[in-house]
Amino acid sequence: MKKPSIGICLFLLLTSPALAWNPFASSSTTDATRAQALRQQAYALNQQGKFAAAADEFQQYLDVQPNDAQAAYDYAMVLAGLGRHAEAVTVLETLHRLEPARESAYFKLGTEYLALHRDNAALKVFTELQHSTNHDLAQAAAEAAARLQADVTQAELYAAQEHVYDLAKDLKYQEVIAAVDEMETDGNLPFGMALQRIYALVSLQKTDEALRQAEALAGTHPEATDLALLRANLLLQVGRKSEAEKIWRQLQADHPDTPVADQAGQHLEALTATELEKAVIASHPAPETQPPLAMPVPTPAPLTSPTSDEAVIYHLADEQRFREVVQAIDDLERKQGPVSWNLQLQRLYALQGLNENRRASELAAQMAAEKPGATDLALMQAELLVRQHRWTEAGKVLLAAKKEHPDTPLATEAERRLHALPAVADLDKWQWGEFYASGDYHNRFHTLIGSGLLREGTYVSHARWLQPYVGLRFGLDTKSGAGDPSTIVQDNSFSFVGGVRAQLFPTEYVFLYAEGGLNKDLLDRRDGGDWAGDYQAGVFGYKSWGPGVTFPDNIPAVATSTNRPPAGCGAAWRGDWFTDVGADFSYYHRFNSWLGYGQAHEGFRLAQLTRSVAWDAYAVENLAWDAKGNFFDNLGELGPGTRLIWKPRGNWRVVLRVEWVEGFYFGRDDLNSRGTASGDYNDFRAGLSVGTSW
Amino acid sequence: MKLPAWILALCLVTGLTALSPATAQSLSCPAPGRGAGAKTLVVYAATRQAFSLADDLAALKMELRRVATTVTAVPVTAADPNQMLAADYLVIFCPQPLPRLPAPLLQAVAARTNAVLWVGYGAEELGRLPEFKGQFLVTPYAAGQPAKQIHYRGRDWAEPLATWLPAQVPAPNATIIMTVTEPAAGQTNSHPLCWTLGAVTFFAGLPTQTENCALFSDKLLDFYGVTTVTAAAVCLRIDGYHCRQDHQEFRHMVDYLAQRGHPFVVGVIPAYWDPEEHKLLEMDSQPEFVAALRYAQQHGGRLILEGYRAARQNRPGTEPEFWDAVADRPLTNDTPQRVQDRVYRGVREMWWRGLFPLAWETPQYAAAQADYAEFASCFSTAFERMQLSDATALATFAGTAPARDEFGRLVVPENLGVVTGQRESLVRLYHRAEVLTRLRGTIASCSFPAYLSEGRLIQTVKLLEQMKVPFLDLAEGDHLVCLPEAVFLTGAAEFPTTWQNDQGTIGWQAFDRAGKLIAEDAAPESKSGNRILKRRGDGDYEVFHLNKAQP
Repeated sequence: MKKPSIGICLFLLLTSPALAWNPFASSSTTDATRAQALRQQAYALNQQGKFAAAADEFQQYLDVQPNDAQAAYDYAMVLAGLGRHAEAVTVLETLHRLEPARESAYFKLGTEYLALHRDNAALKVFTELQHSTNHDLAQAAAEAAARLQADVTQAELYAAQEHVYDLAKDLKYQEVIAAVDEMETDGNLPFGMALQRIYALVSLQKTDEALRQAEALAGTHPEATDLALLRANLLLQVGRKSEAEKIWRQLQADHPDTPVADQAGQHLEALTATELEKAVIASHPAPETQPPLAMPVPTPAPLTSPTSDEAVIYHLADEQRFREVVQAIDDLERKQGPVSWNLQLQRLYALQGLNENRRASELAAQMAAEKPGATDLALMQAELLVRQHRWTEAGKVLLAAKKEHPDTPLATEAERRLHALPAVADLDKWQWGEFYASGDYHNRFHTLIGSGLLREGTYVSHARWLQPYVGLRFGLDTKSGAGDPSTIVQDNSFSFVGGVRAQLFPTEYVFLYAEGGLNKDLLDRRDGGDWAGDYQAGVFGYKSWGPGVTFPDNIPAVATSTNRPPAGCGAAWRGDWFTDVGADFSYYHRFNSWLGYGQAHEGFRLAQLTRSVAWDAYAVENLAWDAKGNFFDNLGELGPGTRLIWKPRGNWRVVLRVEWVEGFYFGRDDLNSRGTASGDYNDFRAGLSVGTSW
Repeated sequence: MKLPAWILALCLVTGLTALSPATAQSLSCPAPGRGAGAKTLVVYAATRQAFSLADDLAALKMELRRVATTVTAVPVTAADPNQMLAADYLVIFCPQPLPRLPAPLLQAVAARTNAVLWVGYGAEELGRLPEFKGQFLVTPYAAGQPAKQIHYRGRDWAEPLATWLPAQVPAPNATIIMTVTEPAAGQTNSHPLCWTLGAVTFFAGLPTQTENCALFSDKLLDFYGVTTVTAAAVCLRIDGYHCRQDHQEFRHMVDYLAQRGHPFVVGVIPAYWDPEEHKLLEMDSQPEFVAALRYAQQHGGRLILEGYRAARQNRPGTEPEFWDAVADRPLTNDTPQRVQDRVYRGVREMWWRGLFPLAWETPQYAAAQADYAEFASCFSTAFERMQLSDATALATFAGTAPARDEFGRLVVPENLGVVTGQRESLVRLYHRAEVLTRLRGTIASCSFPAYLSEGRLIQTVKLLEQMKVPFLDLAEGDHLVCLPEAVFLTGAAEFPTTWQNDQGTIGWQAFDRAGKLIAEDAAPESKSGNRILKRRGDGDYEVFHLNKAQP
């Protein structure tokens, strides 16, 4: 129970002011009596807790007796208690001039300066009082001065950190890195800042540097779970999958039943289910396949005192106890009504951390309706929609952000993320195209066959899954043209077509299509070799899986942990598995038949010869089916193969392959027999293909 | 148990119903569970709150000394983990946010199996250790608003707490001891304020700052494993009685208190400076004053010395005798010798007239720390709001129960405040007394200025009677008053001395509580060597006269 001595107060209450202090004061008896009454009333009101009224009485009294030091001091205390710090400062400054020996009042002046954020003035007071002959007061002043200097330094650090967070929110990653670098040169770098720099590096796709810094930071902060998760993701990105797995497993073991363990578990589950894309979604963006996730820019706790509930929430958030954050904010909202924007954002971050994307998305939508154009919300809202595979809605949010904030970093980032959406949801994209050409030598027939296609298309507004196009196709077979059959493997023809395709799944290359146009039989058999109308329709698609389908600058990862390819052109063994399958089943007017073709590969990416050249070994299966049962058009093939894949730039791919296959005919001819033909065969093939899309 | 009707009738007749059925009153510090010699190590991150003149560490140490333990304080920078592990009781005190706590210190706290008390900020650092990870969460900063109500021991206490830290304690093995309850939108929002986890008790607030330390003080009894706690009591002290008070009114007050069967305390100022005659009025010139004091002593009044003289001029009330109230700093012209002389003179003034001051009260509770040492050399007991340091007299401390100060005195706290002519002071007194008397081993003590009327005294007494606890009888305690020439003892008080025959002789007298001489040693004993003077058991007060031979 430490408080101003009641005894002293009582003394002051009952003591005449004129005699109490100022020997020079001269006043009439009447004035003295009135002053005494005012003084007593002021103290009486103060004791009754009527501080505002007491302040008024003190003011009146001091107008009459301006030199009563004790009353002035007590008046200042009342003003300070009422939060009227500026007035308290005025009174205490006057008091200090009148009674400089009263050092405790001067100290109080220092604290009142602090309340007005006049740190320099306060520091001057405390520094002067350090030289007091009153040892205890000098010590208190020294402690206050030291604390103030520390607080000022801390405040500067907070301001610098807030600046970094603002830069991060504005997606100015390069500036984030520069600001944190500068902060680092000034002394110890706060963990949160170091982490922000890593996030910025990630956003700038400087994965190697991000990983280097993350590993260095982990050395000093082994307990930081957010860093561990980030580091695992980075390791995955550079192909050090086993190390990433190890970290996730460790997090699961060390933090059971926590959101951290949940997140780690999701990564592991994604990996074990070979759904690498899921792992990417759960962790970090695949620039060319998925929109990047929002960089976690925490809302810093306000420097002013938050309420007790808010303080708990910010601290929970700081500890990454997301479920409790959500619970606490929900409770607060239930009790007190709408919570602050910052708390709402904090809840979104927490829900995001918990992967409760649906609720987060609903809340984000409400917030967006409440505060349209909120820059700190748009990217997060889009990301939450992406997580739910609500691509088109995400595209709308990003497009709106881009349009509403033109020529800003937000627009740039929104555009980047928009382009990272599946094309069907990239509302900024209105053209698409693809090109493919291939030439293969078939040893069995000593023939060289070639085929290719070129499509250029657009999207139907409000039904972007419907994609009209124009294009051309061709097929060549060097063995054709003599004898019977006139075509060994490939139809020799050339077509100009127009058509439309329907994308069945936003993120998958699977289409229904129908096209029609003019076809010319290069062997002059059909329609006498004239251009003739033709059409075809059906379904086609392609999909690949596994870490072996990627190149080092791609996400997901490409290399094994021990043989990661260097950034330059050196070779390294990989051993990442892959599988892919492609198929086309269509009705061809010119053949008057349904024909189907499928191909699958299962193998390993053996080596990364350079960053852009990979070497694969695989098993290949081919399947051809003719609904009419044509003997030689119904076959299955199986065999080993190897290929070199060169990715010169962008989406361009050049593939040189060599395969040996054992083939089996399973069809029947028109007479429902195989005749005398052998039911199986083998063949050696070499091929070169080139393709791209835009 | 149902009492027979005749006993109840007897109680009514004798006025005993005014007293509670409590057991012995408490005027001592209970022993901790690990024994009276147990040591408490306080490791502190700072001595005070940021930008404050108040010495919070001094306040905490006073609080801890309500239990009979030796308190040693070291800063965190000098804390030895081995010492921390070995201490009987360990207290970590962090009165400022974000304290810098070395890792070995935190590990030592976590490794301890004996009791640890964490007070104030910084517990979040401990919460990061594996031993406490996820078991509690406490914010590094105080809540924006003071707590107004605390739930403790099954009851809501309207106790304000200016500085407290919002916390959550999800650990199933934790025991929540206190919670801050905040009404919010028709509900009650609770935040743990004090909890135990294993050997560690956390108090997420600063109990040294405001009057809310009552609950913290009570909790200390559990922290120390105190098993025997005496009953609570109230204490009425008539303060500032000197020769210029209204002696007739004083006698009326004595009569009233005696009639009600309440022992009381009188703070006596033996001398008074008369500004008109420009002379010091001492007791020899004030027979009516002396007679009134003797009358009080004979009717349940226990006298204490409240300084030597009223130093202010012709005004009601007095000013600090040992403190420069205008400059709020120690008197520049006072020396320990001058302080001691005044104290001795006051005691002698009273003794010579058969008036026995049992304890000391620092005038206006304001004195330099060096002065307290002088007071302690004369009196073993004091009534105080302890001034915490020389930085200011405006930061004082009064606990809930008697406690030893660092000068070795047993300090009875003045914790109910001063009764004034205003109704509000009585209302405040009532609420405070209601809290204090419901806690263990407390003394709720108020100051009643001698210049107030008998009517105000009656109001005050009736309020205190509503607490249903006994009035403290200071004469029941163990008190020692030392002068160079004599030693005054009550109860089990002792005085160690080295005495040689050639120094002189030791005389002895015994008195009852009214100050009446009941026995005297006609042939004073005289033994050489180390001696411990203690009471023989005759009467209530005994005086040993150290009759030193003239050189």
